[in-house]
Formats: sequence, C-alpha cells, structure tokens
Amino acid sequence: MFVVSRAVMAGICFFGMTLVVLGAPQTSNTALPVAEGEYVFRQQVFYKEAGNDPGPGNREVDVLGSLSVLGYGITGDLSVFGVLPLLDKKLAVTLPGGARVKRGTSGIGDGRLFARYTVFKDNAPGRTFRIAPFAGIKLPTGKSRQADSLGLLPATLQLGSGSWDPFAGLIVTYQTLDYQFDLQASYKLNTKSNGLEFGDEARLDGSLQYRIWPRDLGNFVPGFLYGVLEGNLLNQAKSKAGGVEIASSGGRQLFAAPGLQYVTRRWIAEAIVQIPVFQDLNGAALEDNYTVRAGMRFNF
Amino acid sequence: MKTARPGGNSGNLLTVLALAVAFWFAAGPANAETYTLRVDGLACPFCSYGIEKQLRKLAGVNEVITNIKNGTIQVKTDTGNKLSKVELEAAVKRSGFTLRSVN
Repeated sequence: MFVVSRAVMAGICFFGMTLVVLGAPQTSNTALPVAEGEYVFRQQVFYKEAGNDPGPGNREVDVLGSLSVLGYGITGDLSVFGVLPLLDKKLAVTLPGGARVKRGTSGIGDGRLFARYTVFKDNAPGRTFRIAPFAGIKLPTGKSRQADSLGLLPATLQLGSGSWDPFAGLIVTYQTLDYQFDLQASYKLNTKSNGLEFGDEARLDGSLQYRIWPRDLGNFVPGFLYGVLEGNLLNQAKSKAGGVEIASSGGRQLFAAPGLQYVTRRWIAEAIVQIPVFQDLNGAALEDNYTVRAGMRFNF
Repeated sequence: MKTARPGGNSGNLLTVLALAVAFWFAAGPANAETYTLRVDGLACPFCSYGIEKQLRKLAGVNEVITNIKNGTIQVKTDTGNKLSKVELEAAVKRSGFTLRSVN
C-alpha cells in the first residue's frame, strides 16, 4: 500500500507547486524587471482536482493552496524571489474492504528561493525584449513524514518532499503596449529524501497576453485589461524508491489555460483555469481534471 | 505734526503681500524645473510605477506623470534642485529601462 500509494500519487502532484513569480504570466515567469531597492508581492490561491483512477480504489485528490511570492530588485537587472506555499491536500480512496476513507494534511509546503538576471534587453519606444536566466533551490520547509490512523501518508500527499532540489531555467519576454509574450524553459533536479527520489521535472511554458481594454490609452496610465492564453508542457521522469523505479510515476502533460488579468500601476488582479489537453502518465497515476488560480500582485 | 492714518502700515503690508503672491503664481515656485523624459521599454502600467518610484527618490522631485502611450515621463521639481541627465539616466536604469532623451 505504501509503495503503491506514493507511486500513483506522484502522477497527480508533480508540478503542482508551479514556480510562480511576479510578472505577467500566471502559471510561469516573466523577464520583466523589479526596480532596484523595491519590493513586489504576489498572493495566489489555487484549487486543483485530479481523478480518473484506472484502479479499483477510485482515488480522488483535491488540493487547495496559496502561494506567497516576494520579489526584491537588487539592481534593475538582478532580482531575488522567495516563494512560500500553504497547502491543504486531500485524498479519497476506497480500501480493498470497500470502505471509503479520506486522508489528508495541511500546512506550509516546500518553499523556493531563486535569483533571476537579465542577460539581454532591447528597449525601444513602447516595447521591450528580454532574456533572463534564473536559478534557485526548493527548500524542505514542508513536513514530509506526516501520518494518520492508516499510517504514513503517501509521499505525494505530504506537504514537502524533504529534499533540497536545485532548479534553473531561461525566460524570454517580448512586451509591447498591445500584447506580451513570455516563454520559459526550466529543469528541476529532484534529489533523494526518506528513501524516495521524485523524478526530475522539465517544463516549457508559454503565455500570450493581449490588451482588450482600453483600446485608446489616453494621456496618462490607464489600467490594462488583458485576455490571457497560457500553455504548459510538463515532463517528469519516473520516481525511484530505494533505487528502484516506480512504474506508476512520471509522464507528460500539456495544459491550456485561458484567463483574464487587470493591470494597474500599483496592483494586478488575475484569474486563470488550467485545463489538461493531453496527459500521458505512466501506470496508474491519476490525471489532473483542472486547476483554478486567482491572485493579486502589489507594487509597493 | 503728522497724523498717523488708521491702518496705513497694515494696508501697505497687504499690498506687498498681494503682489508677492500674484508674482509667485505668475512665475511658479522659485527655480522650479520640469523635465520630459522619453523612456524606451515602457509598455505596461505595473512597470511604469517602478520607474516613477526611482524618479521620486531624486532630490527635489515633487511630481512624476507618465504618459504610457507616448513613452514619456514628466518630472517636476520645486526645491530649486536641478536634475542632471546623468541622475535621470541612472534612475531609469535602476528600474530596468533605458532613457532615450531628456527635454
């Protein structure tokens, strides 16, 4: 039960803790700057459901969470970010005896620290093009050995992995007054903890934002209402327990995410829904049904 | 023997003050300056605030008005402190953007 559970749960939780940074995209990052000596803050709440269990357990998972992100501009080109999640994870499963049980946990998840540096920028009237690599580490701030009356919770139902996982990536952003495009490629090297090593994660994210209102910008700085379409291609290698690959772990997922975003000088309000377009998960891993995200960002 | 007119001195004082106020309004604050910056890369409201914050930190700046459509920022001072192009350029750079020109 222990091995099987944590193996199948891997399929529903990898990439659940999307790297979210201040900027325009809602499911990934941007290369737009944080001014020197200034802070920006983002609070996002999300709700995610997964199911389609191919096995007899009819497992269903939902995760309610929030991500708090604080960004600080060291210079106009170099910024550092901290991400702290709060999570409430629940699993409903039918046991072999027929009883339907619920298991879950809630609390602080694994935080992240990373830095982003703009290595190239081409600023022109009314537009900017930027390339910014980033690198950081996922911290084991979430509890990873939580148990309930049935025993130790499955590893992916835990709040954290217990491991220190480095990650790195590259962001390309092109922004004009009418639209913005962001592309991010990233890789996370998952390390071993508690005898389990989650598979490494690679992802490619794209975001297109188009200003739908106002059509005329006037003489000052009006709020911009953007229509948003984002895409996320995720790939995770199989996890390993005791050095042995877990069959029901890892795989590929592609999400499409329509949304809205209202941007002012001091704050941003936004919401988006991630819908799976394609899921090729290994073994009996659960599939994502949808994820809803909503949040605010503040420019202090 | 002169006879003091009631309110004579205070009347003169009021006249002087009225002229001073009229002159101040006509000429503006002493040594006030207005700079119009053309900034490259400015394309969203959230980013414009980052530039404004950097410009407001400069000594003597009391008003910053952005026109995002034209990519221009008007910076006004009222303390007699003049701003150099180098100062303005550095402030814009600290916000991650590029100063094209100052008028």
